[in-house]
Amino acid sequence: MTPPHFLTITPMLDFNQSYFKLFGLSEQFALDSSALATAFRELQAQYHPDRFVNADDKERRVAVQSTGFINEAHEALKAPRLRARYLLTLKGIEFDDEIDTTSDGMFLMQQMEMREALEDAQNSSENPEEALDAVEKVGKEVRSLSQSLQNDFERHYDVEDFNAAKEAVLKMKFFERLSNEVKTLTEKLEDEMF
Amino acid sequence: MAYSEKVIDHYENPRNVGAMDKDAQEVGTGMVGAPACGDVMKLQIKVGDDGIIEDAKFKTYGCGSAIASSSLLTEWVKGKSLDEVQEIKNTDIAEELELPPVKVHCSVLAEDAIKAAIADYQSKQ
Repeated sequence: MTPPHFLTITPMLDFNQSYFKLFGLSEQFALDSSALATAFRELQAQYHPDRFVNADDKERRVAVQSTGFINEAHEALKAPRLRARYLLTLKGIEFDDEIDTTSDGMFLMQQMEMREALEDAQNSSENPEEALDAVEKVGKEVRSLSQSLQNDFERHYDVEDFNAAKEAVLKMKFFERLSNEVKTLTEKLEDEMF
Repeated sequence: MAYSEKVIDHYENPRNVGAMDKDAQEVGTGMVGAPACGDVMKLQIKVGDDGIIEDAKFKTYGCGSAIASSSLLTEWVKGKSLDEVQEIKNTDIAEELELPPVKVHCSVLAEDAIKAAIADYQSKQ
């Protein structure tokens, strides 16, 4: 049974607090994923709009806003790149997707080569099993380079070199794209095998 | 979002896809990336003794608009001097390909790539 004035019992969410604070996590890159998952589930349950069906319009609206805020916060912290980006925005570092870019030529060359390797893996072999091996090889490299980029971010962030940390975040996007391509290609090849 | 016919044409029949020797003195290579979407683009020019671009090649991993922008640009720069090419603006590309506002950044990427290629060529002379 829903009490008549539910919000007097369920506290109002502070929409200005940081996403880390919302979930009771410390403001850092290293993440306790299970703590995030648990806190997310609890908050979701607490503010679920179903619990506010008998509340008045204002309370229902606040419940919907709260759920939105909780989901947004969860999205922003769950994935490493977005979490890194969010940490920097808390430090006042801005991201302009239209202008910001990395001009690290070596990095871009490496990106180009990994994409070529993926393309070759896909085209070179008639045998899906061999192609899958070749894709997995690229995938392994992508994961390892991606991990070292995350370590770079953490190192720069910890010593407050925010420009270098931002550069690492910008580079992460390229790896995110590559990982997605590896995943899509792997699924496609696995489908062909069975 | 619908692509214009021109974009589809370049996407399905890209012009000048390929690579040149990036270490050659007469070749300039421009590598650019767009962190907003993770696209990467390589654009190369081969410049003759008379300062005219003899050949251009590109390789782009990205969306249709990014491929079309770089494909079109390689067509445009051939036979032009470096000064003339510097005059090409991303808006020219966006207009020719009728890119929607959300895809204009692809033409910016192409302009950045040709500028980088010219800078690379000049640094070798």
